[in-house]
Amino acid sequence: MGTKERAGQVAVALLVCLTTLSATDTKKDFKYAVGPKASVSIINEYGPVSVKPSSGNQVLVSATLHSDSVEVDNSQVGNRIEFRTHLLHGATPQNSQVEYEVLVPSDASVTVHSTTGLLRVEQLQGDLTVQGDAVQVDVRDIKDAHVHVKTLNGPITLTNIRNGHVEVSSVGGDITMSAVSGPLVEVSSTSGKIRYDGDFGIGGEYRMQSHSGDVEAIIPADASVDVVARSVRGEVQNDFPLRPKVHNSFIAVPGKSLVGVAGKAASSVIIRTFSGKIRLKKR
Amino acid sequence: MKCAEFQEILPEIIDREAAGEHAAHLQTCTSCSELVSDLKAISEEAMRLGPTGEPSPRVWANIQRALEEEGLIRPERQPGVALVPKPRRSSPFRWLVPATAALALVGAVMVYNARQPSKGQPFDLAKTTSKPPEPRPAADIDDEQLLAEVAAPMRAEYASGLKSVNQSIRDAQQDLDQNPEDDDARHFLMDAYEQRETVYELAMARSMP
Repeated sequence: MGTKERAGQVAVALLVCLTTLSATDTKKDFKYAVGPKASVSIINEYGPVSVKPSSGNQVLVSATLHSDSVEVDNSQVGNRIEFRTHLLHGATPQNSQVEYEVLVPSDASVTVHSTTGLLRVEQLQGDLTVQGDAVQVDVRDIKDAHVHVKTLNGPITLTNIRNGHVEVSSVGGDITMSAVSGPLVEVSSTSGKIRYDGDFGIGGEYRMQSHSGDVEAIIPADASVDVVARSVRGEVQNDFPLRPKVHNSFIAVPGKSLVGVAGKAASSVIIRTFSGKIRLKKR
Repeated sequence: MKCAEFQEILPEIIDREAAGEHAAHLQTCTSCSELVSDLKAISEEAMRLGPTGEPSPRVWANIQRALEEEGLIRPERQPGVALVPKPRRSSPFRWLVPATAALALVGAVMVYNARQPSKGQPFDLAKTTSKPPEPRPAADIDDEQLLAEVAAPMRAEYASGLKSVNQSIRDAQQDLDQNPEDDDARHFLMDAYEQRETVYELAMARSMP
């Protein structure tokens, strides 16, 4: 068989596949006008959700349904918009996937739920709630907002969150934060690893705790922090230059815990793990 | 009315007075009457427990008696394990007390109901107490019920999460028992319970319409 013939067969096969896929996919588009600080909820069963800022006071939702075993219910009541995936008879996690692409005003409050898939939210300034079971969460470029994330499993990535009130909880998911700062950053996990890469801002409270996962913080030399770290059954490693704390009620045990300050000690950083390892590194 | 039929509506009777044929059965059946009386007493005590109140020894005694009667625990306690606690200092975990009492009550009623004979079969109290089953914590029963509510494709994920969280609770509790003055030990236990709450919250969010 010649190369041209083989290429032709592959092209035909691809065409058949694409035709079959497109035959079962249904894309639905929705458009709403909203006022300032609208509330938008996307409650998906299975599948990814992406939320980005829209250009005006509009909410645009594009939902791609992969079978007729699933429906999308939508409603608007005043400034509140809700989308909810509705499973029908015969629905399975495979055939009931719905992909949402959502554009909202940047000041909107957004709630996103799904059982599986990538939940991605970016460039917003309104409060944000993300919940999922076995999901991948990616939240980035958020400022002046509450960011609440709760998951059972799957990696959570927070990037460039400024002046946030951040609360993240995951039973088994690893949590990675890069350039996350705010008055409050509270992160906890049962078995997931926690990694923080940033300067801890100025004047915030940072609490990171994992029961059995490792916790790592990578800090620039000019950070202004008051650090308390302790691992009950694991170990604590530090190569960040900390000064001893003058008034200290906590007695550090070398290798198991540490206490110290850097700069003007503007932000409080508390790191705990029960059986994991804690590492403080200088960037 | 047979005992088995009466005991099918037992949870409802605890919250309100029996009426009609149920009331008539209560007047004639000592076994059911005593059972309802005990469960009502426990329920009333549990409801009276405020967030700052220590339970009275009577509460623990009632719970213990109910569990013993149901064969869920053995009357002879193992050395060092006392269901009726000695008076102690005020604890920051007082809030766990009413929760635990309520959990124990709910667990006892649920297990009791689950062990009832099907309709038409005579209820044999002696038979149910002659072979005491292995004691099961009420939290395990809650977990099983939760997993039954979770959609099948996600059940293994939730079971794994609960297993992990429950282990962390045991670890933290053990550490707190060994270091009762350690603030971090308290934090670990509280966080472990919060993680468990997260699992339940997520599960319930998924099972709601």
